[in-house]
Amino acid sequence: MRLIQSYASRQTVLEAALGRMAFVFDNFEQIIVSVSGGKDSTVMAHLALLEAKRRGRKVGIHFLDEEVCYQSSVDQVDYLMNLFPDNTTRIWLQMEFRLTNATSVQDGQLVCWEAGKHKLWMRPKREDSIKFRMWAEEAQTVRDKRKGFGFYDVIENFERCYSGAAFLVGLRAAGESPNRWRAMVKNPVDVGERKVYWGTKKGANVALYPIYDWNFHDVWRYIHDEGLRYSKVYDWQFRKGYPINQMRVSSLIHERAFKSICDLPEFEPKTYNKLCKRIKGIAMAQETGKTAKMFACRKLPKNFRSWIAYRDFLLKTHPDQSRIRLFAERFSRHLNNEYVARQQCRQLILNDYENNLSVDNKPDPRDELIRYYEEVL
Amino acid sequence: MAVVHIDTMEQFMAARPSLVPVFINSKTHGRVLVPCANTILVRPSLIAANLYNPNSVSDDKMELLKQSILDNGFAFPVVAICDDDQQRFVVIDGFHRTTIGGPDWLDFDYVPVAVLDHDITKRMAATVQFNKARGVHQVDLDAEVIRALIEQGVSEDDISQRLGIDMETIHRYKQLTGVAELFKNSDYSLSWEMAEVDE
Repeated sequence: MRLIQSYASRQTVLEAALGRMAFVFDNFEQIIVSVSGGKDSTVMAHLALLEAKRRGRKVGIHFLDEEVCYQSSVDQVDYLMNLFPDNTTRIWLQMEFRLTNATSVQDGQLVCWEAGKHKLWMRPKREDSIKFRMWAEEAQTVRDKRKGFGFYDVIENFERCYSGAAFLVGLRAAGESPNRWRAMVKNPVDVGERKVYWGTKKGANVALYPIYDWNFHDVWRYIHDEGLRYSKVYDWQFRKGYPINQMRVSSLIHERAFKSICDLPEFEPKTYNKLCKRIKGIAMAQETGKTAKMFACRKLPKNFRSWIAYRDFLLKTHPDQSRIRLFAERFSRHLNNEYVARQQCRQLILNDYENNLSVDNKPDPRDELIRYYEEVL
Repeated sequence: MAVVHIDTMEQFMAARPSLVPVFINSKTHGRVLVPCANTILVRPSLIAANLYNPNSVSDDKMELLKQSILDNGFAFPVVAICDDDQQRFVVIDGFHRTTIGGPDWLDFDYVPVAVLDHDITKRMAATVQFNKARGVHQVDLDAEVIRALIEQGVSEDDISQRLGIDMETIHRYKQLTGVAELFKNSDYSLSWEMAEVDE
């Protein structure tokens, strides 16, 4: 037995998504769409809302607000929650949790919506949002005690408040990395009589990806045909010359997102000004985020002879003693070569003590190449 | 007030005492010097670059700078100090304006210079301050300017030359309808499902 992608239905992705949506509404009482303000979740939410309207039912629109985000994303979520108010249950979460801040070695984490800091918050909380944890404190789970209560902990605890619900996610496999769809379909879930490959079991609930087979151009075609609003960030990125298939509205501060801060003053100057006041290291990331030397860590600074020397320097001069021990302990388990050292430098520069950008611990491929040519020549 | 022309360093030394400092008053910070009120015209051969300027200007921006000087005149003097050892004016701000005034570009007879009296530490700080304390263009508003110029009947070639923007960028900025509009004629892809097959 082998799994393949079958195009036997001869349906367009839109026809298929409408069919999947009807299937979801036939099989689940409770349906919740997770939105981010991006284009994919905009399409996902709209498809679900239309089906809900057709059937005179309600869907939950769920947004986990991490405080530090584009104003355009906030506006987009607000728009989605007000498209079909009679068919919408608003689940806008604004509660305290921890986010990784890659831009600062001092403020390694941002506590978003931190109590007592309301004067510093990027914006005030909304009247209609959920501000307190909906679960009992003794039942609350935390993935990693050292990191504290984070983004995914909120999601997991939130989902555990439901049972038998369908969580719809605008995740897409098409056009992304070739193995992405394999990862998406490897844990199919049984719904009624049917084995559903575009979803997976999540505790007492089910996560479903009804637009998994859409390409980015399908998403844009749908947004155009339905006359939907979308985040202004996409138009700005287009004008700045981003390739259309690589445009995305990402978070502003995790390890891989510091690049989006580079363009922020040109996109949303007010958000940028507030962000500078809110967290340390933003101005530095804005100025150097795209150069090869700093955050990308691709080019060795000229005053160092090797990545190993640069790594030792960064480790020795790190401002936080407890982090030095943590990094040193982690690095002691790694091989000591230039290939690995460059990645360790990146972890140090991004203050990635959480090991989110893990190190590919293997012999330096360059050594092998040099040996090969030594033999050949 | 007569404009001072400087052909040799000796001339500057002689003229220096007659340059009376000009001040304006700040309600919050008191007296502030206005060096540009004492701008002198200096032979380009008397002006030297500094060795620490971290600012780099790309070729297309140099073209824009040249165009700006031709369109608006040399409106901002080069800021320099007088280096007694080198017997030269050393640039603090305006290295690229000096270059544009030099033989490879517009080959001016004189370049306007405002002279400061800074030691090396203050000079380095001043260079960074001059380079960095400036704004960026909000993408939206930049696009608005281009649209307004097109509506005033300015050709795209002209906009490209005068604003130093390449045609590709102008086309993107003209796309005021937004990204979604680009896909109105694209076809939906074919759907796929997972299927189990026997080997």
